[in-house]
Amino acid sequence: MSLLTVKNLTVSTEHQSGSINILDNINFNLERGTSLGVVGESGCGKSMMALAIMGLLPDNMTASGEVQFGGNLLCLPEKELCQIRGNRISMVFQEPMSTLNPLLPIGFQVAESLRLHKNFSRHQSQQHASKVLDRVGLQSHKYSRSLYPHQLSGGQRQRVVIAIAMACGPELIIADEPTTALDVTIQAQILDLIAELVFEENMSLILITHNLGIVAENTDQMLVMYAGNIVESGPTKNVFEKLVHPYTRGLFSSIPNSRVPNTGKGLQSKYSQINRLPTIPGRVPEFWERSKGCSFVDRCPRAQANCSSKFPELIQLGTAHSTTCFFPYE
Amino acid sequence: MNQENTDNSLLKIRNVVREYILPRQRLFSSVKRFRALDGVSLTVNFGESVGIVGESGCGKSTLARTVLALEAPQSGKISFKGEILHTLKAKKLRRMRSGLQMIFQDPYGSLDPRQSVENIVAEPLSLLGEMTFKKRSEMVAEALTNVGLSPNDTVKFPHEFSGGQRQRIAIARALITRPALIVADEPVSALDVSVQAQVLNLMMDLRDNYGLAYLFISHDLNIVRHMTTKVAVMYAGRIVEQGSTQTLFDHAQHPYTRALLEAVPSTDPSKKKRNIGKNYVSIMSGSNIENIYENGCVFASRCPVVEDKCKNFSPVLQNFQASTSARFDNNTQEIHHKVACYKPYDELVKT
Repeated sequence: MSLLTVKNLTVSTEHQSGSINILDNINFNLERGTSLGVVGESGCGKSMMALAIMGLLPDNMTASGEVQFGGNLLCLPEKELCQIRGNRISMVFQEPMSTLNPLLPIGFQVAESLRLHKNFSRHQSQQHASKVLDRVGLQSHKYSRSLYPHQLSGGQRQRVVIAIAMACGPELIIADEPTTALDVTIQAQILDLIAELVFEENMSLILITHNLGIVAENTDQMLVMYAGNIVESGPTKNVFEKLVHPYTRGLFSSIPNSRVPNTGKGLQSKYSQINRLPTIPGRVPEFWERSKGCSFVDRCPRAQANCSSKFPELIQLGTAHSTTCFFPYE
Repeated sequence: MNQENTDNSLLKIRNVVREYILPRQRLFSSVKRFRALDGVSLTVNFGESVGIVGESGCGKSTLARTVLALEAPQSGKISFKGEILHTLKAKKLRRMRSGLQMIFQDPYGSLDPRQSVENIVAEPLSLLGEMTFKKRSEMVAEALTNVGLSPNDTVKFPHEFSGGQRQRIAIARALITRPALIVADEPVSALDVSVQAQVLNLMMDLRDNYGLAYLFISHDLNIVRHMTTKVAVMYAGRIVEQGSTQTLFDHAQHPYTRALLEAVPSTDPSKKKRNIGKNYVSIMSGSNIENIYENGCVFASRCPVVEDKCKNFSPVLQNFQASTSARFDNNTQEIHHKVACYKPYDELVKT
């Protein structure tokens, strides 16, 4: 049974040149207990998608389409949304220092959502919060519940943020770049923690990141976004094996990759053709520059005449793997 | 390093110590010191790119500042082209500085928004003394062309450029004095993946064309692997392991290096679901870099294979002799490989 179904989600805003779509026709399905990775460069709409699902879009943007999570979240009044946010769907943000309130102790911040959503008493909520903090690796004998965020390191703060997110036992956690501000070793620990919690509590996870490695290691399904569109989606394994969309392929090959061994030979002599990183020429078009055709057309090595005149339809490539491209790689 | 006596070395860092005095906790309490750099030694040869990796707070950026003579070390010395930088008179130092340039992490913060690109790029030229206006504009135009921008961009301002282009401007500024060494402190971590590759390619092309040497500071191990020939791994102000990039990535010996390498997410989905609890990263206890034994190994408080000896006696960075089990392509790489650990990985495997 699918937990979250997003259908034709479009987010638009007013600009000098008229109405522009920041997200254009987003469709995907998330099953209970699975994880979905969303990758793309900055400005491709990854975070806007998360905000649209949570009903937290800025005032000047409007969302249309459907976000089915029990009912259509886009039609719910604010009061009912408040009962879902932090309770059934919760978010983990990028920068733990700006997520946490610097004036409140961590125990209180975790307990807050329990008092709001579960009607726990002050004492009950504090006790439960303490358990949740134990669960994320901040044992009470080492980390007092009355510590303030500034007394913790970055990784520990992110653990508190995760504790807040999972305090009420949500069905879905949306993690928006949860480890970008952290060191690699801490990043690995936090990702392990998220994976473990999601698995044990049978939660679903949407993991938004620009790091392809994180998606490869931690998710079952993935979406690749470019300029407000989904360009490729499918099981993570299939997407990484086939890389059918030219953008996915370009993005993937432009990362210095540990799969291709660096012999060091190219570096001792000239930076040879072998060692040179393949790049995607050009840049992401601004929202107002987008034509009615494929948004990747200017940078695409496979583009042909009809690419710039018509937006490519979604084509299926076997088991749940699909792409929006006229000329995908085989 | 074996090339100590040869003339090939551009920058020599020898036993550099940099301490900061921390604020007193109480009025009469003793002054606490924080050692940001604790006996760091490193050599950068002409045209060589050397990577420095480590977590935040390990002293990477302090090392960069000390190399650029923005800060003087308490002890040890840094010589650049044979001159010891921090003992030079201001006038001479200023002249030496044209050989040393820096690229910063954030291209949005490192370019003055009120200055035109021409002024930004031409600023380091003041180090070279008086020059005619015409000569100046020629050099600016040339620097911009070198980094793939148009000479007509000189009248524009930084806000008119994207992140990748701004980083190109920053590179043009670093390049204009024809430096021998560029210190790049996380030069691409603020950029998008597809733009990162463009900037990295540009940096390597410039290295080929002008024989630049890079001191490349980054926390992204894949990028360091791609960009450098030699790597030093820093932890809490000390170099815990150094060697040629290939040796270090293929035969890492120090437990911290191994943890760092394991922590890098692999882009291979079949490696999904890391065996939690069995690798170095997850058994690496605690995350507090300040928790350090006074006389022991800096990494002892987090080390998964710690012994009593490690807590009391600090291991010295010494040449690592590969056991017979490890195969090297040629013997010269062994000489470069140094580890500061009592229990390097190869010996653990043996027992």
